[in-house]
Amino acid sequence: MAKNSIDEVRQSAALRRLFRSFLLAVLVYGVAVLYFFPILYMFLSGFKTEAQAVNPHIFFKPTFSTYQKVLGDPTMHQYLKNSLFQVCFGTILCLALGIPAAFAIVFGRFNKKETPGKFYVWFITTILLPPVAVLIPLFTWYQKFNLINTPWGLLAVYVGTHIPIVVWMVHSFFSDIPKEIFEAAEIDGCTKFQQMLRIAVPLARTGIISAGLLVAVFIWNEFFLGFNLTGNPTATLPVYMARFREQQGQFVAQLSAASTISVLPAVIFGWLTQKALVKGLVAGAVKG
Amino acid sequence: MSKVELKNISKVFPDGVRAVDNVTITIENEEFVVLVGPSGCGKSTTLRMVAGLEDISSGELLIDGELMNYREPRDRNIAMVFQNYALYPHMTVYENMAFGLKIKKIPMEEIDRRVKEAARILDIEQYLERRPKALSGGQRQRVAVGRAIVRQPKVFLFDEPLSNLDAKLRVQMRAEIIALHKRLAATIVYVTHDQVEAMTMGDKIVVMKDGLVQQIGAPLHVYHNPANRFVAGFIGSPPINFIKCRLEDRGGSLYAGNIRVADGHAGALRTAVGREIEVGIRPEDFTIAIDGDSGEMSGTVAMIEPLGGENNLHIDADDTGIRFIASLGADESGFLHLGRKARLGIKKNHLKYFDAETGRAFLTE
Repeated sequence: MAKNSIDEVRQSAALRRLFRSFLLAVLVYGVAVLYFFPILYMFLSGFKTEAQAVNPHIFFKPTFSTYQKVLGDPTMHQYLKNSLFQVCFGTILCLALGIPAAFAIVFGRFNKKETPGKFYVWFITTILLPPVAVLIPLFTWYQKFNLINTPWGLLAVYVGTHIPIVVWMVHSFFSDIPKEIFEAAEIDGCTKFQQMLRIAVPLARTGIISAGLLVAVFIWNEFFLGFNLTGNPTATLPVYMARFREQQGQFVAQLSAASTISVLPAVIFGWLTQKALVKGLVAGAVKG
Repeated sequence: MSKVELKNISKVFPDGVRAVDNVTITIENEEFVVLVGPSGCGKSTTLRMVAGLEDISSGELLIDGELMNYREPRDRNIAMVFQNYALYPHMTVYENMAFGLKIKKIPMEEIDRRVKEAARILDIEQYLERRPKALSGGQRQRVAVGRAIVRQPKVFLFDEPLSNLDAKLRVQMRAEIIALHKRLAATIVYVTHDQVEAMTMGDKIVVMKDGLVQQIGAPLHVYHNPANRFVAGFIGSPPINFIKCRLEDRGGSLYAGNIRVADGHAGALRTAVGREIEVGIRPEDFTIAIDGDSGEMSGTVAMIEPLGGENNLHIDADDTGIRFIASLGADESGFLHLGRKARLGIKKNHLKYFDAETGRAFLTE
């Protein structure tokens, strides 16, 4: 009898637990669907014809013609190339300049003890600065030096605005490396530059990779500065998307397909590297 | 040949702290010199100045007669072993040892030869392909030593290399480093806060306190002839006993409290008659009093530390109430149980006398 009742209690507890986790799952999936739905809808709409796209249906007969049309568009190719140019060179330059900056802040010799901290704070506050704040002076100067609507002009802005992110993330990784390792390297004959390249960079690899990924995604998605500083031949994908909406706003299916193509690399990239990204961001947040 | 000379070297940090004050040490070729002292005495800072990791505020550092003050660490031809090993975590043991040689662009065959030779000496051949993470503390410290050996430097610097190891491993590594010193005929500067390490390893020890050198000498010489009260107290385990008293002349014989000063010591102490002094008695300089005549100290046994061969007796003195430690043979002191009265004699020729005010020793050789 007693045994029975224990079993009953156990069963009802298990049932309650199951019910609770079921509710929780429904809630979590509900929120996920809510967030993901616009993206899903955009993705699906790209497989519709323009006529189908006007009506918000989920079930329809898919067609590849819209994607084919958008991908076949030579202007799209141009913008895609522009975006890739900005992402590749921008990321490389940000890392090439940001890593030494972070290294100097952490391990450099300064006259005053508080100097590296001050430098660091300035880098960090730059991240918080809204792009609108610098747009007008930037625009005026760019006009003066004929940098408006040039790929290198935009690249310079992107590098400048994204270096602080590299410094911020890599800084916390560098700070975790024991000082003695560099002293050992110094005695082993390394110059400061060799210490950075052969000791600090390999040891902070995770942080550097995630900083690079983050910068790449940020540049890929950047719209505001790109929109204001570039024109037709040099604009990036997000700018193209905006123009597309202005000029051909009625073509919902094409717009959806083009949007999907423009967010896809970021999504795939992020998905493939989410572990490194999270590790890098968390390290920065907790230890920084 | 590699002789290291520190001439009047001082280190003043930006916040005004004088970590090392006017230190002069000569380290002869192939000599094993140990800098020893309590934490914060400036021993590590001194070593780091020799390495070039700290700037020298004033004074001269010479290696083989060449001024080193303004040379980068890499141009001083030294190798250093750190307390926390400081191995490169992303490299294998082999790469760790080869790294410095690669930087110097030494031919690969030569690097390979030297690394394998060092690995053989240190018995780490089977770990060459491992990362430091996969090694125990003792193995890591061997790799750190190996990294120093392959460089074939003029001077080896050790900064408390055994502090992170457990007691047994420490004794073992101590023996290995001593053997290594003999084998490589190397000039070694070794920093430790452990006076046992200093005593057992060094050809010469430098006792430091508050940035000042207190005494330099062979370990046993320093042990038997401490220059001041601090050195006497720091070197030796269990520590020396101090008894504060007045030096008096009673009918031509000198007395420190109740202790009659040995005739051989009287000459040097005569100037201090009437002054407060401190008498230092090493624990092993007590004897069991056979008859009433030789009993100089008496007290109650308050604690016994049996070490097997001998007992450390903590005794509360009857007259002064001061607790002192006596190391006596286990057999002869076996009858001294807890709470019993003990009457002890003193080997008077071994006593040390210090000025109570300045701490300076009266007897110097």
